[in-house]
Amino acid sequence: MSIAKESTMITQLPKRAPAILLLLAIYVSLPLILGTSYWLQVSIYAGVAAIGAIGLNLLTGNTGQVSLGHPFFLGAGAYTAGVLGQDWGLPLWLWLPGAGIVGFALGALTGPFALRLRGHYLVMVTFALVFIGLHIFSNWSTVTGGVAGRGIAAPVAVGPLDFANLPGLSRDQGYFWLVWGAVAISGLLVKNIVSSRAGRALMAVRDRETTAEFVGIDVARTKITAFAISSAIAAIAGSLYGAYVQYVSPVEWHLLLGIQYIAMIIVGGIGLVSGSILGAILITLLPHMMREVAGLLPFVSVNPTDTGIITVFALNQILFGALIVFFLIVAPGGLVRSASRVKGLIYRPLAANKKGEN
Amino acid sequence: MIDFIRLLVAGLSLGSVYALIALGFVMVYKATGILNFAQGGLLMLGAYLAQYFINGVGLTFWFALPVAMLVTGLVAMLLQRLVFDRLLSHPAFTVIMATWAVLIVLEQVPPTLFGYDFLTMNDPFGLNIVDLGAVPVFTIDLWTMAFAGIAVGSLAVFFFGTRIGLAMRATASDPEAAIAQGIDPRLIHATAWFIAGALACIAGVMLGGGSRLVSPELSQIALRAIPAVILGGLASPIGAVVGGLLIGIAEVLTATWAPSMVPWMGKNLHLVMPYFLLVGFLMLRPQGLFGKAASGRV
Amino acid sequence: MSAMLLASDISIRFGGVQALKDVSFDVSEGEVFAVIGPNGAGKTTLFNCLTAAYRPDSGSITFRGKSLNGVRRRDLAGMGIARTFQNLGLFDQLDAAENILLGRHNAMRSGFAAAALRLGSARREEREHRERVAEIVDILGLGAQLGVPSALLPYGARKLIEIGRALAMDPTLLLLDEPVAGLNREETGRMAEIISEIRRRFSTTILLVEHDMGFLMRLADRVLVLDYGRPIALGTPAEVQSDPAVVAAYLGTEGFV
Repeated sequence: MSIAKESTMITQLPKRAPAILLLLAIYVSLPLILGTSYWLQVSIYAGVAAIGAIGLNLLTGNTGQVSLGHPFFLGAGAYTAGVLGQDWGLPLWLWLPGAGIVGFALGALTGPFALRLRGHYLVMVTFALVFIGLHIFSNWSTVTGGVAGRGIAAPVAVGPLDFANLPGLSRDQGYFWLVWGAVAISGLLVKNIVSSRAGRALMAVRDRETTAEFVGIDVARTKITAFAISSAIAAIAGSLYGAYVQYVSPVEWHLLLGIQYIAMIIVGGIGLVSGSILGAILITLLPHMMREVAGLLPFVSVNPTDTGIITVFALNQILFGALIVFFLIVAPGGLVRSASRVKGLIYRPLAANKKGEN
Repeated sequence: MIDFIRLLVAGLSLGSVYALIALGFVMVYKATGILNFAQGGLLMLGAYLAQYFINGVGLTFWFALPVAMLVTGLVAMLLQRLVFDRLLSHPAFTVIMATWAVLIVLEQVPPTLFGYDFLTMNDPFGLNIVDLGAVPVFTIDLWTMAFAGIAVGSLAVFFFGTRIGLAMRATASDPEAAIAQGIDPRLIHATAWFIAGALACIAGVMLGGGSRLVSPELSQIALRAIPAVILGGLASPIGAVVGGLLIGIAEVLTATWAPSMVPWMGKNLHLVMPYFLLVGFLMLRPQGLFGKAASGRV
Repeated sequence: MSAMLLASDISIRFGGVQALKDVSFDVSEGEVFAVIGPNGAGKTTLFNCLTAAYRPDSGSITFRGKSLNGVRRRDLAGMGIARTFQNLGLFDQLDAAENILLGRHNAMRSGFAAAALRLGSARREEREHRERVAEIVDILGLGAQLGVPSALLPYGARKLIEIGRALAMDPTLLLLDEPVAGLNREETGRMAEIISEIRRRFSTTILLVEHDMGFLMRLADRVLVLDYGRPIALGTPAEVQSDPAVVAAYLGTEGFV
């Protein structure tokens, strides 16, 4: 999608007011509607995933640096929340940015490794990063609790507003507003970056590095900055996740998680914030919807004691893989772009009809 | 000294498995330019198939192995036709993600077909040990090294002694010229994938046999062979073998010495050592031991 | 007039081929200087030496008194040097204005933080520079092509966008790599007008590499002729055209009007 379109999307804010009001209405009311339903929990996970996906898309989608290493930064964020929020007792407005800073630093350290590596090699190094991260997380017991994991009891209060303890509302409901508020903020920040001079530099580095250099762009610095910002956002996602689930262990930050995040941006739309959010929602929802549907299918076993040809997990994985392949072959631009193409197809005939009537 | 040799042999035998996996990896890369992360999935499939042919169907090992290799090779070819052929003109990122997606799917197939229990291969090697001088070696490890050697030898004969092999080399060095010569790239790709599948099967059988078990964890183990192709050079079959052996040796030596020499580096350092080597090589010599340095003037 | 660009005894060798040998010339401020020669004469090699894409084996290049020896590519923009690419360094999905806007990168200051927070300074800067881009779009006559991804535009328009991006860098020295290659008579004429206009309006010094002698006759102040990597003539287009060595080099080849 052209940069022009992204930037006009922002200047057309007033025109999109109805859409924004709708989203705002959903934001406020969804937790109230879902109440104690387990789908509220799922929507919180989706929110965390959305933040992570927004970060990854900036790096992979806009800057062209393919990274499977996202789980490392997510985990780092979670453990930072544990150390700052629980061990040191810092409030939300300190531990959350703190996680961002830790992520930023780690990303800045990783960035230089990516400088000389392209394509295949970059994938390899980020893939190795996941395993190195797992090793660190499994062994650095004082911070991570080692293989057994650690609790994360980080406070989520901003002044008098304690998201975990809003009067008359559940912890989940408060967390929904906290997490999706963070989604909105990170999405907005990234969108602003993408449609700016900095965003153009990212895209230039992605598409034509040589031209970028001749225009005066410091390619190395741009790549490292992209890594740093992306990792900071990932760490923030991880920290919110950790605070929510209150307990994490190293096995969570595994390779499959990295692939899931890449899948989110592929399915949703590479390089688009809206794509990141949509993809995150879909990929997060998938296993949960599978479980619902699987209950209806006799050949799928949900519990270990069920009889069935295939477990729901296996079916989920197969569908997940097939979904990725499907999108890669059929709609590599992701759903958001396909949707806008469909919209174009629908609106044009409507406009033509209108003209005809005059 | 004896202990060191014993370690070396253990490293070489683990490395031989990695070498077989890495060879399959390089096959596909050389012929199609695709990094086939799904190799581990093929490995798992091959192992489970062999296990089934031996224990479920009742074939002898030496009959079950080639049949399993054939089926795995065909599955690999099927994947190439269904998925990777359609992605040839797509950017590298797309293709890489497709191989990961295929891996995720493949990983689920054997446990779904054959169950999640850990199974014994019931190969003829079992727990037999051979004494080479003062060094006891598992029979299966010797056979693994032998298979790796046979694989390299057969591939050499194939590439340098047959017309298809020649066609594959031509395609690898200059795809457009090869097409101009009338070589059908799809045939080349199909052959490459078939070989990769067959190699993955042998690797899986050796990995899941002997004192070990056939389990859903096999594909994860296969991931540790990926550093081998970086060490050796992405497009070098010799590099794959050398890289695989080196990774195997490094892993075994690390497992034995690290707990006493560098305890602060954590437990199970040997499991992550291949990845440290991967990063090290990518930093210092990305083309690997046998690869050509990427040239670029501008 | 002062020498803006000074090249002394530039030599470079690739393997067994001496691509350039002892090439020396100077380009004065405000001049349109052309480098011409048959295919394989070393024009592109020289161009790449001037733009830090190659490092000459020997010789020196100074721009406004500063040596270009070992300069980094990304520093050229800051020094006031802009170049076009023969195979067009355009971004396919962006339209003309956005491609040209990329040329304003160095003139703009806003970084990631300012962008993310949409600070007033960033917004103002964006507006100012988009106006400058609009100016350039006008000069180049690309107004009708806005909003279309550049990949879909005709070749002539794409070449203009390429120049537009280089122009957007407010260069003191503009290096054009075969600006009329692939263009028809009419487009070539238009390009000559535009380059004259650029020189007139912005007092830009221009160095261009070309085959088309007819195009250069109208445009260039002085011409350097290369053959097999060696300079064989240097002077006004009229002088060079009648130089026997030049005629001999071009004999039998097209491109000599």
